[in-house]
Amino acid sequence: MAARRGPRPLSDRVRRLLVILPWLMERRRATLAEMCERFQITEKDLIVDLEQAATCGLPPFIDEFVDLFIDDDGVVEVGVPRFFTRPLRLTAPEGFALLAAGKAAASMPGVDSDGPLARALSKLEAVLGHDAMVLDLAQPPATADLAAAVGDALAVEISYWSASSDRISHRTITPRAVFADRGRWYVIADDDLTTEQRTFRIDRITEWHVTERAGTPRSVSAPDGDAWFDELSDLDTVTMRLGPGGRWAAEQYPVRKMTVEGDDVVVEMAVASDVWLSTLLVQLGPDAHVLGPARHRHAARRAAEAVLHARYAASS
Amino acid sequence: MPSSSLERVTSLLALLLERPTSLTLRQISGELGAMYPTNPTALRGAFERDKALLRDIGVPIDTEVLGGDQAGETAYRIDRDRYELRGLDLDDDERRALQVAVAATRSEVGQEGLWKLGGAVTQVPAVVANLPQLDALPTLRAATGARQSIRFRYREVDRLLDPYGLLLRRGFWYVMGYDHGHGERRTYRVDRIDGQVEVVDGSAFESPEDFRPDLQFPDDPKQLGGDEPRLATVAVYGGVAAMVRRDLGDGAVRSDPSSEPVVFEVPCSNLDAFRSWVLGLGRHAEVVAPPDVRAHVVGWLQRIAETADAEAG
Repeated sequence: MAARRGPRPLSDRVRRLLVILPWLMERRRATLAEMCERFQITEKDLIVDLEQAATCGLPPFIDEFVDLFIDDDGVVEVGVPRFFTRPLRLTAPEGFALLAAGKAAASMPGVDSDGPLARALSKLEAVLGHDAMVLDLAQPPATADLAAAVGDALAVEISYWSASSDRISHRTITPRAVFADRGRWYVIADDDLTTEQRTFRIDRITEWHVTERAGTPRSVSAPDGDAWFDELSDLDTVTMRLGPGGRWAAEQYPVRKMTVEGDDVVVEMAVASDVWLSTLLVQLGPDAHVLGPARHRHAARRAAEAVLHARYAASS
Repeated sequence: MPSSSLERVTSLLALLLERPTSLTLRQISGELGAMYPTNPTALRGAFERDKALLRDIGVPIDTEVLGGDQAGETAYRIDRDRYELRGLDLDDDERRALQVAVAATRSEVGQEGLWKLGGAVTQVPAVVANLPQLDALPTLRAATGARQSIRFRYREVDRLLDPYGLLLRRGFWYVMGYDHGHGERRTYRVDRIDGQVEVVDGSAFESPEDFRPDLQFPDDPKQLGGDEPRLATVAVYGGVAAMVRRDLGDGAVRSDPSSEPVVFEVPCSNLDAFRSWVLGLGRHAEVVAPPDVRAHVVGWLQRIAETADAEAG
């Protein structure tokens, strides 16, 4: 899991501790390294949380404290285990998360939707009760072929419409990872045109052909949440005021900063390209107002005029 | 404002799990000593915050009003049998399949659930979906499963809904069901619900047989809302036409796809969604008909040009 910036929310820490403590109480002894690996937590965070847990309990009865200490060799020892000794079972949010993950996985390209996953899902549904929950991860047609090409690093010839240049390009890519975010599917691939690793929107791949030319597989993890847009830190930022009708833009695209002002929100968004911003502003119309930088103030007007001129000259 | 602390929340949890009987707030603060403030208002505020945090992580604290010599006092307890899911017995290969699913959706809460079931972390697979995680979802699913009504606030109106089902589509979660206030079926975007979703105690409803959320909801936002299903004729120019054809399917093509422009029939019942879609294609697309839809799009573009001019002047 990707490292987070900023303080960890208290609820996340308590939740994680409720998994770690019973595990530790059962074993009585474990190394910090083993626990970090198992519970996907940094050593620094783990020590802070364990030390705070060691002060938990019911004062003034000292022997009722969660009795643990960490020695200099990075070994965690439990004295008399008193609390959290019984392994905790699944909570409703965990059951939900497992069901959602399983249903999502069952509809992904290249995943066997029968067999063990289907059996696990029906057992979960039996425990969680009547189910009317559907996860629709509809994929553009190229998704399955691109996902299948990742394993052998097969070269794929594509035609791609780039919104930023408003052109269709022909290139050969080597897919490294496929991911969905905010309802859209993307492929991370080595791109022969730029000789760089690039992220492509799969629904903008208009034609594709999987070749038999295999490269060297390379593991690339798909980005988590908004992190992938933040990586593009050299991108220009635009500040806009969005009315209630324009909020979808803040939901659809990663936002660097958002402030609520009455019915409006003021957002700072990364500008993927000038063409991208112009198109977005034309879609938003009166629901968006560019606050800065000044050079983007007339982007909507210019783009609207260009469309009127190109397609509606007779009407306007 | 003083906040909760890890020690205090964990101690509260340990205390309530340990004691077989309910405890009043007075007893809780007595047991936990200096962890809670002594001022009654501050104590109440701190306890409510801790209670809310535990509820959010799936450990609800039950409340009961006492009788006898403590008559009228409220007492609190955690009933493990009520909040823990029982009877889930997975085979090794089923657990592994779920582990891959959790890795493919990078669900932290799901991962914690799997640790409890004995799972271990696996490598992130080549295909990953980032699912929106919303606090209300477990409650909504539980209410759907138990066929219990829910109350929530949406667009500044209190709603009472019999939730029939949940749907994730195009990156958003929706809850659909019978809305008592409107006397008809409604669909709500879960991320737009204000505050908590509350399950109505003792409520029960019958949901329609074989309710399928995915079939109740058009998979194309351009078809949402509106009274009559309507279609617009759109001419698409250049290589973008091939992309539009893949998106809409061959059934939408109304001209020879090898000549330019390619003409499509596109649902436009939801005019806002339609306009947004067609303008997303920039100068590559032209609304040909019906005249009122074309006029709407032209008017929209003209207003942007004029408004921006006025601001510039």
